[in-house]
Amino acid sequence: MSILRQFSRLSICPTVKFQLNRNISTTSALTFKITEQLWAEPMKKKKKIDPAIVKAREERRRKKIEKQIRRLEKNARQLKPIDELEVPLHLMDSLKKYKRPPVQLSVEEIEARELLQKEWARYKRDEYMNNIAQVDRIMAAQRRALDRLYEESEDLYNEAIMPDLQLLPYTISGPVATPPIKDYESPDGEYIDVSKKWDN
Amino acid sequence: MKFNTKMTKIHCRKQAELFKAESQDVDIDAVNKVTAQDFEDAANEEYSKFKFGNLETDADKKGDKTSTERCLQRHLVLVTQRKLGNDSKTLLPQGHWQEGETLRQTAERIVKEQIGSELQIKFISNAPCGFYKYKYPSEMNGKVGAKIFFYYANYKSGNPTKSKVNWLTRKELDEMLPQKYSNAVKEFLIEETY
Repeated sequence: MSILRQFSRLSICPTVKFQLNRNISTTSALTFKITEQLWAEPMKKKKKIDPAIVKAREERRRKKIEKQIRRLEKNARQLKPIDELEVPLHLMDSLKKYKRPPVQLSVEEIEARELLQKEWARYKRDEYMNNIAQVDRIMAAQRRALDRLYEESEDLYNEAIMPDLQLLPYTISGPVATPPIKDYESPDGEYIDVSKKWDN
Repeated sequence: MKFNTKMTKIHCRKQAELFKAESQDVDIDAVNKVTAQDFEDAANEEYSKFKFGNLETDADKKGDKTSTERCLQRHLVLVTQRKLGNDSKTLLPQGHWQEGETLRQTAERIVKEQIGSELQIKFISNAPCGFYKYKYPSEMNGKVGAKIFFYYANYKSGNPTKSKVNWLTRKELDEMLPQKYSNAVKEFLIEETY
């Protein structure tokens, strides 16, 4: 009877209820016993891992991930060649919002603009001619002075036409719209130029 | 295409309108933050309150011609008083050339002697830029007249110490200098058109 129960453990469907059997026998009873049915391997005993090793493993995992992040960021920091650049997506999406309707001008407006452009061209031409005339006048005055100097003494003339090597590089600044305020404390502080300089 | 600040202003305005209409999809943070319009208003207010340096300096108001801080928009020329014969005239500083000097060295020496060595100037070239000759009223030292060569130099810094010096604009040059002299000087100076 007990053997049956033991074999019933092999079956899948649930079988008999538990029955309390106390067997009494006068002779030595022949009992068969089969080992417990094991559907799986018995659980291996959990070994205690050194916490230092656990931490080391976690560290290694984290470092690996950080290295990958750094590599990706380095890629992002490098500038892409212009041919590979694309329009950023948020601009593409909002393209409609950014566009303006084309401007319609009336005929009078267009004509007025054309006439204004012609007047401006005339004014600029006069200004340009005046500039050239002034430069010519100044150069002629110098030429005349040098001619007179030549008549005076040739030595002085030769010394006068020698180029002045101490002049360049030369800078002068012109008038400003509003002059600088004396002893002005700039609210943003002084401006220190840290741009890189390259010399020959 | 509208640019970004204009877009943020439009966005802020829309958010404000939505907030008024009390619709559901309002980004409350965007409305509470300083809007672009507020920032522009604050900036404009600061600009209107700021006092720029005045173009009309004190020297302008007093009519003081000896300082370089007058007529900041115009080009000024240094002139001194000089005695020729019996009367003193306003001329550019001039003096005699000495043997063994180039003309430019003469000019530098004259400026140092007549104006003082505190005045820092930079000569542009070795060559003169103008010429003027005049006859003495009577023969002096066996010479009939004098030839003057003008040199152009830019003012860097410093004050004249030795003699009274005036800084004149073109119009004043016209008035104060003798006629033909003034014509010769005007030839090598850039004309004023305003």
